[in-house]
Amino acid sequence: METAVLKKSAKELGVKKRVQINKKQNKQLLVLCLPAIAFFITFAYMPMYGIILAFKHYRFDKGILGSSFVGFDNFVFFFTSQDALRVTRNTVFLNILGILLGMSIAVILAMILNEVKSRPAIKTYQTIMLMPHFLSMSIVAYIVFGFLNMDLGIFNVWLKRIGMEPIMWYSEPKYWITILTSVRLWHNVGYSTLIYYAAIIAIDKEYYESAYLDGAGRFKAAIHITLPMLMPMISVLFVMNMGRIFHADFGLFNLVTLDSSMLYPVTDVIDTYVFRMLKSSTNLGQSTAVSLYQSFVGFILVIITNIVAKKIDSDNGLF
Amino acid sequence: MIRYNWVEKLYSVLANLLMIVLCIIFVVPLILVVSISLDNIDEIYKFGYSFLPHKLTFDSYRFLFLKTNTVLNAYKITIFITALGTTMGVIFTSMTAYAISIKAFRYRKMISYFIIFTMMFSGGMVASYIFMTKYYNLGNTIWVLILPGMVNAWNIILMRTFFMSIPDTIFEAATIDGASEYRIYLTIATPLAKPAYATIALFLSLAYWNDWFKAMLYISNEKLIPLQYLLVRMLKNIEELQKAEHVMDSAQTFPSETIRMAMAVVAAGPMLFVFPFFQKYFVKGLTVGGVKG
Amino acid sequence: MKKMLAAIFALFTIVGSLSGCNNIGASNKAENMPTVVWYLRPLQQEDEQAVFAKLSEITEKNVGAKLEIKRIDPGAYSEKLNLAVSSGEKFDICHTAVRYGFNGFSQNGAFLDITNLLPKYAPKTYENIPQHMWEATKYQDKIYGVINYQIVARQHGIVALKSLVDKYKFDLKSVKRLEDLEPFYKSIKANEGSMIVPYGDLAGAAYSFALQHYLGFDNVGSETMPGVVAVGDDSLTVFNQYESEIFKNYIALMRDWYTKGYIKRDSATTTSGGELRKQGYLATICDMIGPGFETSFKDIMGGRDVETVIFDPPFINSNSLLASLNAISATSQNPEKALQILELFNTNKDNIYNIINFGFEGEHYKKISENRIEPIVNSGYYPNCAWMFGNQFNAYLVPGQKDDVWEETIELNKSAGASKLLGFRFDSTNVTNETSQCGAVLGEYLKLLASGSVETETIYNDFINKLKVAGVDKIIAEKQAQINAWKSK
Repeated sequence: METAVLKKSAKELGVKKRVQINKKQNKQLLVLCLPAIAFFITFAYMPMYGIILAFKHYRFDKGILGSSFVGFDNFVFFFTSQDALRVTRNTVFLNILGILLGMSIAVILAMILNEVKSRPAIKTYQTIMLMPHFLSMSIVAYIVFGFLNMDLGIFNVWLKRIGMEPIMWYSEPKYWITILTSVRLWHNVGYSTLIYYAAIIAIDKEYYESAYLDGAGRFKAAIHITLPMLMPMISVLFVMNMGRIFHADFGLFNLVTLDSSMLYPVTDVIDTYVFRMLKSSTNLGQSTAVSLYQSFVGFILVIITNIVAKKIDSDNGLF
Repeated sequence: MIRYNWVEKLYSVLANLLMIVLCIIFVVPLILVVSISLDNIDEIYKFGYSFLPHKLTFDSYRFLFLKTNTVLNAYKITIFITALGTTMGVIFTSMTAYAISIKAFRYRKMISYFIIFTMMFSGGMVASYIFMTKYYNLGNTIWVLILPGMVNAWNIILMRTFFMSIPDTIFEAATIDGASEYRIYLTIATPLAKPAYATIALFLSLAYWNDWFKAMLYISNEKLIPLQYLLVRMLKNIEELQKAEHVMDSAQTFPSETIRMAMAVVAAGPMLFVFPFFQKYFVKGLTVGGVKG
Repeated sequence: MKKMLAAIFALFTIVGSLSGCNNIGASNKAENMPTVVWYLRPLQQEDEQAVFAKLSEITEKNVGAKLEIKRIDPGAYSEKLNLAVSSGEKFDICHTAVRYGFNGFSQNGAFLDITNLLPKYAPKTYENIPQHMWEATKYQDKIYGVINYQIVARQHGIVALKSLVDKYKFDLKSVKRLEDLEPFYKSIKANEGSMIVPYGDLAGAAYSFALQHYLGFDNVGSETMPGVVAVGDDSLTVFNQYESEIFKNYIALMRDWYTKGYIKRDSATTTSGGELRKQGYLATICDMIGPGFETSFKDIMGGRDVETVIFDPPFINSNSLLASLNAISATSQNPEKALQILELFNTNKDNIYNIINFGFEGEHYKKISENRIEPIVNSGYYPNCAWMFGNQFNAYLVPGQKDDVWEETIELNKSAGASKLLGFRFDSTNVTNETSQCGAVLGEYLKLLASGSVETETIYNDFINKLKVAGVDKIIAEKQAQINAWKSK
């Protein structure tokens, strides 16, 4: 009952969407977009011709345009490699885990933060949660090392103190799904929480007023007001994240793991794998090819996810 | 106004408790960073990392600030590009975000696709480098540190979503009064979206503050080196020398872990002071009050 | 629509003119003299601008060309040089080496063929280096780089902390094989506590960087890529070193040492080798050794005295010859002047080479004798990398170097055995997929096996199988085919 009522009042308050705007206004809006458009043309679209490198055998004296076409040859090295499946699986799995956990925890935290009344307290919590994001991944790797290193790491010191055997953390793949996801959460959740919090405080108090008047509790209000009002933001972020699903954070998977090969069954992802393959001889065509593959898959996923999101509610989605 | 009864109080207390526990977990590794930066490297090698320095010392910081002039200059550069880049970036981002948040805008879908496409596909480092240095002549100028990062699709889309949560009736009222879109953008949309502005401004500042990669690729003029690159290059130079010559270059001072942690504090620390400045814009509920009645 | 284009155009103009502001005043000087641009990578020195300016004066006088040195931080050199080359940037000379992509650049048109220009415009430099050494710079019989004459004969061995050698009265000099070190390691392990590591090799690095010749492998290309020739084998038969008994015995030895605790438990993931050495936690390391290296090793081991023993006779191969050279870019507008400048740096000791090495006399160093100097502490210029700029044997001697260190080194170079593959360069174009995939397998398994960190039986078999799937046999066949073709010419 509540959801229908609440949604109805939401629509009532802002129902008249501007269906018509005149030509002059259209032009004005266009002008507002011009600087950004100029930037994108200059810095994003002009260099985009570099993508054709994925189909060329690059020779320095011939340059990007002069080098010869080799069709899909540059893709072969990756797709025929024995571990392509393993790394793709790892990339996708760990990314999805990270996205789902990250988003749900951030939304919950934002809602909880909304309950805190004291402004100084809110500021403190936000600052602390955001701080890890300021640290670069190489520092994060050191911190993790401080906890996990074999002889002097804090975890092993504690294990020894309670009489247990120290664990060679960097050699046991089984811990690393948890470790990597936790590190990633620690690094990112402050950022996402901030976004959702900003979105929550923009929700009109009127909705909550009428809900409480109708006798709804805080919990119900959260589910039936906050969540639906956050949906546009959640779905947008979800779709955008899906676009990056084949890309892995190189710092996280290479630096934090200390590039320990014993962990590869779990931690080897597309980016680290390709990096390793091309270490012996940088082949520009091949690395561009893999990038293109990652982008292309991401693009398809964005389209699909967006369609699904729109089907649920036309307000959702990226486009 | 929401009545403040005992149920409210309970929820507030619980929320606070949860946040405190969470923050403790978050802060622990950060304390470790600071502690190591103030510690003595020999002690660390003997006894491992600890939350309290074994032997308190400011040596690591002294090492970093050895060439005080260079560090101060780097701070100046970084502050300049962050301030200018964030300001211009927020302005251009919000302008675009506002425009494409209007559902009736004729070019809305086209521009949205145009923007989102750039988030998915990139021409690669080599093509960008060619354009920056050969055609745009931005190599080794301060502008290469500011311009490319100013506007990005992610921020625009984020802001657009914020703008879309403002009910259209507000704008409706203004258009009837004959206001131009510029007016509406400036005097109505912007004040209502203060938290959005604060968020994007924060993210932009963070990105500018932390970026060292562009400096590494494009800057060779010592006077234009930003803070982060100054620190990172200390690390990278040593790593490179260690790898390459083993023995041939006489031993350089290795940046030990304590120095690296001090670098992290020096680099990230200032953000602690900047952040509260943005926080005051995270103000609740100045919204639809203006519409009813 | 028109308004939009106009606005975009305006924006471009603004961006363009902002950057244009920086180009005024660049080329106002001596109108017709060309400028030669040289990419180098010494660490930043405070007085470098003054020194570089002086160098340009000298080249203007002697060669009729200005010199612009583009100094890049060593940590960024690889990326920046890559980009400069990839973007077709116009420059003339660049410092290069195998590790900076010399192989790829010379094979794919980045560098200029100087076979004919070299003897003409840098004759003394050309004659000074023994003929067979130039072979290493060749690709398809054309020379692509000017070698910086320095130590090229490589020898490797063990560097040990003198304090421990004395304490256990170990006869280090009698060690001929790695196994001979075992009694020493046993004593160290038993008595020195858990922090001191007897065999301080980390992540199996010694295998690739120090022990190839010791193990009898003559590399065809990089040290780790499968496919080598046995040292001294006239038939030049290529084989997969990873399937050889030698390799199997080596990793068995490493595994044995690991289980006995002679190797650091987390060797495979350690990144802080430099600091461990400085703290004195590594009792011995396996490294390249040469004349005058004792001083550097003492520094590296944190000021502790060391003793060394050498395993293998001096040996020269393409990789050692290509450790430091200067190449002429294919985009160079003045290759003749560039070579003349290099000739200057390689032959003129007092009036240019040692200026770039050590700066100005009196200001940056004190001259002790004709060939020896003493650098002034904190003078503002002491890059200490004479091997990057030219013929290192022309460099002044600094404290810590014996008077005859250059003579000794030249002798070593002359007396060294040379790889039978000098002059052959492997072109991997036909097998790039296989080399990439093998590269991935090697990156995953090599450091595990070479550091003894894993149980060898199953892991080794996995390793060999994976190499086979990655096409290792195709690489071997390709190498053999190319060598045969080269041999028969």
